[in-house]
Amino acid sequence: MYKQKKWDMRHLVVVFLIVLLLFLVIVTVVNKKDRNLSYPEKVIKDTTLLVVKTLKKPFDLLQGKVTDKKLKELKEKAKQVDSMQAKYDEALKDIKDLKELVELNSTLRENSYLNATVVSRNVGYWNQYITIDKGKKNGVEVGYAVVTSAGLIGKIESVSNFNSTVKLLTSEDVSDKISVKIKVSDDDYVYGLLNGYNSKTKKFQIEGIAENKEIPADSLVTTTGLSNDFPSGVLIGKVDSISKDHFDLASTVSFKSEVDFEKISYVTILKKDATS
Amino acid sequence: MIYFIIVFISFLLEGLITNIFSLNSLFFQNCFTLVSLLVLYPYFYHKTKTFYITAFIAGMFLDITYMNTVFLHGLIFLALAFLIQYLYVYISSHALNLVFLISIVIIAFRTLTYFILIVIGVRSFSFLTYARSITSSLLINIIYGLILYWIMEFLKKKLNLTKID
Repeated sequence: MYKQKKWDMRHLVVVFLIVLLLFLVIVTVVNKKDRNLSYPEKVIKDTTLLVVKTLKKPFDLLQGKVTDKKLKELKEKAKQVDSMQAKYDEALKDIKDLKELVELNSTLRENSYLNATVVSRNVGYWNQYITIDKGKKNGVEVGYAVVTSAGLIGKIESVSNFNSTVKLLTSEDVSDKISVKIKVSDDDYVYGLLNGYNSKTKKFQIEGIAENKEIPADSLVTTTGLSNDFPSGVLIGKVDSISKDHFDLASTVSFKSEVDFEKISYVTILKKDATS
Repeated sequence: MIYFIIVFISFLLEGLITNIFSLNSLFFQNCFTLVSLLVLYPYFYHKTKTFYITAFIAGMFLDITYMNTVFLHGLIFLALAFLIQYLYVYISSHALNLVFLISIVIIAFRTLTYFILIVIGVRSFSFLTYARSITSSLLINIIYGLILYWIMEFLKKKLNLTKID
């Protein structure tokens, strides 16, 4: 009788371990990085998010009333933008002329813009993801950069027909390093890799800068455009502090983003043009 | 049927409510779908199999709609459904007990998810993130659990629902 009980216990442990192993294998195999959403996934995601989006409308209206004051401020700013637009148009004309001069067909900065509304934010706690209401049917592809008026916030992680998931830069997943440059003078940059985000200090870090150049505080940190995902010159933040390693060989730069990652409601997707 | 509707409403609220609170809110990280399963278990009288299937499907919906994963939450919810069933053997369904039950299930949920995400290597997280995942989830989920509990008590009388006490 005793022997029988002991065998049962062992049997249970073995079954439990096999189930656990199977579970881990299934989850690992199915959730590969860079996987594309299957057709049923797309249908379920789009349908349920359509319901969420419809239910969200009264909240948006309520939020709209609260933000009336902000609207006045924004109108003031818009006037300033008009004068900047004129300068921008002139600069664009110069670029066009220069490109014709050097017979350059495209630059890394060529993108078109698509505005989107956030449907849900960071459900499940672990994923620093937001879901937006533009998808494949709107021309969105995996890897596109996503920005707000204050700078880069992340990139498109997955796309369904009418929605997309954006992986924020604040994600603790350190596998994706972004190539960045720090503007140290008018035409001089220091290059490095964005190493991660410290949620405690709310600062990003660029590690391993070997160049021995003086980096002033408040220098602009932008993307280099050297990776496939992000176009060149997209603002990420401003330099906050610089520290040297023990051997005084490499610098670590901490910088802050102007983006309020906690309350992102509207975003802009930088779509890559076919010519670029 | 009413149970499925309540689980589905909780699932929709889980995504909707994130638009109100900040992204890394210190007290308002909700797990409404899981809490609804916990509150509703006593109503799945002699229908344990249906409860497991509901838990699995609810988890799968969470995976696909919000999390960008497949089977992860489906299987975690299934495991937690076993835990919920086990807990209700020893603890009766009562408002005060529910606070304790929600706390246990939330801790189990966060712990399980944390270790699985680390083991399968999809993402890497610090221990502080794990600790914060629990502390930031308790308050809002306990409040939601109690509200749902009282709604269900009201519906039980109105619609003559059967409940295991």
